[in-house]
Amino acid sequence: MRSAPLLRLLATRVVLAALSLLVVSVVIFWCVEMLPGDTAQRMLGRDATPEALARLRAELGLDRPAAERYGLWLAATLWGDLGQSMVADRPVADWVAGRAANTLTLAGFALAIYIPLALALGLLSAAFRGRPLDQAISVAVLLGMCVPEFVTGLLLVSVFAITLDLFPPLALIDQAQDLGDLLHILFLPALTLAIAMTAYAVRMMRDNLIEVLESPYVRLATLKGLPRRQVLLRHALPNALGPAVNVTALNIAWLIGGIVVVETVFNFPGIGRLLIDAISVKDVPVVQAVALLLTALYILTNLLADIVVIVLNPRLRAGA
Amino acid sequence: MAAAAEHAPPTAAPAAAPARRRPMAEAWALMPASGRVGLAMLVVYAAVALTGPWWAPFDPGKIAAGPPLSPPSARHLAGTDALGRDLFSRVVHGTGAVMWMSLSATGLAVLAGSLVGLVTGYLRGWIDEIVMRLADIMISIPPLIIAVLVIGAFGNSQTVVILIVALLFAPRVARVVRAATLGIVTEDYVTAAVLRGESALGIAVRELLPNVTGTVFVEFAIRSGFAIMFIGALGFLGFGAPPPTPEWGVMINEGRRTISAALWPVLAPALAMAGLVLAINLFTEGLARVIGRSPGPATH
Amino acid sequence: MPMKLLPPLSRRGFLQTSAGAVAFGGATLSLPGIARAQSKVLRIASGEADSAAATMDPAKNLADPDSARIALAFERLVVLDPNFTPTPQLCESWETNETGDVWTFRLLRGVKFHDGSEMTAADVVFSYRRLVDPDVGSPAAASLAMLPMDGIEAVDDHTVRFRLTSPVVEFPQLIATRFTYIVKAGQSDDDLRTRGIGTGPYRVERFVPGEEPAVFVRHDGYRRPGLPKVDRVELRSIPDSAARIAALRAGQIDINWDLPRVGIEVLEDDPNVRVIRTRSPFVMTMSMWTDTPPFDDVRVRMAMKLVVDREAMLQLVLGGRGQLGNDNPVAPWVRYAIDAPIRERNIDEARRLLAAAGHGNGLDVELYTSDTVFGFVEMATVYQSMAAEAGINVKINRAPADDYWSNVWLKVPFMCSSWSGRPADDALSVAYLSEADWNETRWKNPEFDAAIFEARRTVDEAARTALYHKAQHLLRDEGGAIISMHPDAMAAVRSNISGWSLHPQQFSKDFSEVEIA
Repeated sequence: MRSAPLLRLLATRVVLAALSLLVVSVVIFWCVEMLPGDTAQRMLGRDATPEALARLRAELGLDRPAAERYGLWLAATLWGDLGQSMVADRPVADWVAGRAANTLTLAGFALAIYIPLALALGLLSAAFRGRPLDQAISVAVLLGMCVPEFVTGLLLVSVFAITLDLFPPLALIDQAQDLGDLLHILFLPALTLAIAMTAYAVRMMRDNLIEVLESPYVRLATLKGLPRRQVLLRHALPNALGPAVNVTALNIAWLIGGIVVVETVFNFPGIGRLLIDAISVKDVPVVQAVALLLTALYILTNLLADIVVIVLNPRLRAGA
Repeated sequence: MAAAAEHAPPTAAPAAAPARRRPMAEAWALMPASGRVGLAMLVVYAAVALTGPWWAPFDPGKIAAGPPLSPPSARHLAGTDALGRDLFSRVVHGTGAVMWMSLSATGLAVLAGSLVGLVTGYLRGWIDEIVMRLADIMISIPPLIIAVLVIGAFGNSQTVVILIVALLFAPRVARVVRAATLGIVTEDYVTAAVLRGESALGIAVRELLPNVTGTVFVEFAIRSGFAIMFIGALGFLGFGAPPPTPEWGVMINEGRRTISAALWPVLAPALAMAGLVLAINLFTEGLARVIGRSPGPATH
Repeated sequence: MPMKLLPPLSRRGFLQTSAGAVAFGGATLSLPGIARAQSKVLRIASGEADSAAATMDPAKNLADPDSARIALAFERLVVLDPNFTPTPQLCESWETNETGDVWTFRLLRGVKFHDGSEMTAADVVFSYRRLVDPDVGSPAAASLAMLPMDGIEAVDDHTVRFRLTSPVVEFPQLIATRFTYIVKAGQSDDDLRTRGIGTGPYRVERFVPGEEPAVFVRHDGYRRPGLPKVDRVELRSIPDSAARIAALRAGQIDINWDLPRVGIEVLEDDPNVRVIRTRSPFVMTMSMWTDTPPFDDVRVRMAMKLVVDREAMLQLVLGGRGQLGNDNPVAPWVRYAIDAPIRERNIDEARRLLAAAGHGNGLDVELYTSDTVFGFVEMATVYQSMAAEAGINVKINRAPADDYWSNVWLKVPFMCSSWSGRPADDALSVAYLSEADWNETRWKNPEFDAAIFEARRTVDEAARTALYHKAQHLLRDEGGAIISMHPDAMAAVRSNISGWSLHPQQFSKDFSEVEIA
């Protein structure tokens, strides 16, 4: 019984997701098609002579109509073949997978900083609400929300890399020789991402935790004489997890865009920079693969968040 | 909810408190101090945007107004950039462009989104279903990708930037307004209007709109903050307004080239941007308190 | 859709993917680390983005990172020294007939390719035929138009002869370009793109377009004994100049040859970094179409040139790190350059000329610029401000950097452009001959063309010089190029690096003598 609504939700979502991806692929293809110039022109740049252009166009299949190219791409993709990069002449799947692994490493590190930080700050500010600690956290959070990530990144580089020389200014992941190196190299970009996410999460969690703390259920626990710590961790925290999961989902959705900017700041060989590079040469199969991957990730994140919220919240589960 | 993660979390119950109309004075009294500070800052920013071009000490495009990359001084309050342009004057001149772009983009998005949200929320049924699914699809495309592509295709004019940001934000607004509308369509006054035979649009505008005004206002305020940062990010990536507009994101991008020599070309526009977003956030929070709606974050 | 066949997933590709996965799993990233620990690694960085279109095929040498890869792996018959004098590299000597249309090159003996085979005339013939072969589509073909495919022939194993359709007195100079590197005969276009075999000091170990870094290792059979002294070279590109500076200071890279000209004081003050500066005939220009109003009036063109305060322009755009330009693509110190005083700013004269041309009430023009080359936006901004004083209202159009060269350049009547440093003939002909592919000012002057063609055939040096001078005077006074500066080439190396020098031509790089202390 319990799983029926979940299954129904899942089924609807999968259908919708497929539809979304299809629409996204059309929109992206059309947008890329609208960019001035074509791939051959962008590849040859300044040295494009008419003969060289014609040759390259034929080689890349650009002499075919756009609709036909889209159809071919779609058919191949449905067969599970993401095709070949037009420009780099290598399999898209292989390439995107490598970059995605890099990006996941960075995102994972950012989340590893963000989750404990957000939980701790959220709990602290709720527990000490109205007191100086809470006020200090609130101010910090407010500021964190007002500074866009590219500014945070630049400031971190300026202070910790250029002035203090504590961390490398660029996240050149291939220069890492061991795990310690890797963390050292990735620290600044991960922190940049974590700061932006934490600011949002803490603000949300504080309000929710306060609400929970004022609920009769938690008050009762306090009245029973349970230690404050235990009340917070055993009673209040689990109840505030649902919203926390939601905020995290929101944050991951943001991360998908934020990563493009942060990878640019740190010269990090991830999927965001791949996308920008692919757009600049109109490498359609690569743009498509990355855009679809990011969209799928986004849809998946939201779905997972919804499921977790339903599972965590008995009332919603019954009503779903 | 199909896009629960897109707007206020379920516990926030966006539609729970329909706005009661209060006189301005009462609203001011209810506004927390931080909200008042935010409002005051906004007034200052607006004043700078409107009057700045007349009193800014230098022409924002004036090269060699001072020695290149000179630090802040009495003559150059925020220092100068690599071309010796006065950063303070540039930031002041940029205020208008930044506020115009972000506010008009948000305004358009809120206008279109609210209308769609109201109508679909009122009509429900299959139209609602289709429109909301479309909105979901639009929401699921990473905004930065679309923005970069569209600006690449149509050029980086202010109009293009405004339109694309509006287009990206509209479905998000529609979702929130629709949720608020769903909470009130069953109220008696709406039923009464239906019984009187009023048209759907008439009901949406006359009966529903006044009761979701609060939600719409808060939505507008939150979105403007995001719009400023989003447009800033576009400028930073090289997709912002063309020169000579001293748009802040573009200035940060320019200043970044010389960041190892001087921080202020980045810091000056960054502080201006942070201050404006802070003002909006403070004001939004206050406004939400007055109206009784939780200002939960949508996407950044 | 690419119509090429899908190559099977290579083992290397598989290893890379799994290395990424391992990193994510939290284990150590050991592949590059181990190799690095025992050897001398040189990390070099280009300032231009290394896109997926990256290559190491000399015939397709387009972007700066391409020329770095090519310079690591290949060598040329002739190179230009820093003063642009042709110098033998893979040949011993050359000679010509009296008319200058047959050129014979004697090759060095015992030069080994990376695969151990010896370089012969066949390889040179193969390399040059590729450049002029229409099926290869090399941009080099344009400047080698007088060299037919069957005019390239091997006389014996170590002698190559070029028979030209028209005389070129300075042929050796003409073949010292960024395309004319010698590759081993028989390689396909695909081979040459990512795994080309040459005679250069390093051979490619791993180069995947779109993947960083490109890795090169020591060529043990290199022709010069004792060289190279570095085991491994890693090339990456860091398009953001501030990031490049930071990476140099932090020791993340050892050499960068593409520094901005402003904001580098921190590097100059850093004891761990040495900044190298070389004057270069690199040209920064604003080009007007001489056949399109209002620029079709020579008085307007002159007025547009007269408004520039060249000294101030140099200070503001390049921080003074460059040489003054004189509306002449041949820099004053290059052989055959004219010795004319630098054009002075003269607002009154500019106003007078404009009024005479019917623009007494002001002139509106639109100038295209872009971030694609450092200083373009600044140059346009400064020009806008200077021109305003003569009543010229310049509207700046900042076009996207991505497609500036494909969609703006050669397509709008007034735009920023740049040319890498070239010898006089090349600098004059590449963009200013009537029929030049890249005639960015649409300058069609028969007198100018005749002077250039005549100079190429003139064996007498004084007469030849006079002809080149005539062409330069014509271009400077009537042409559509506002050339106000020649930026210095700027590079920086970590102070433990020696044996590297900066060539004024950015694409001419030489890493063979680099040593790491």
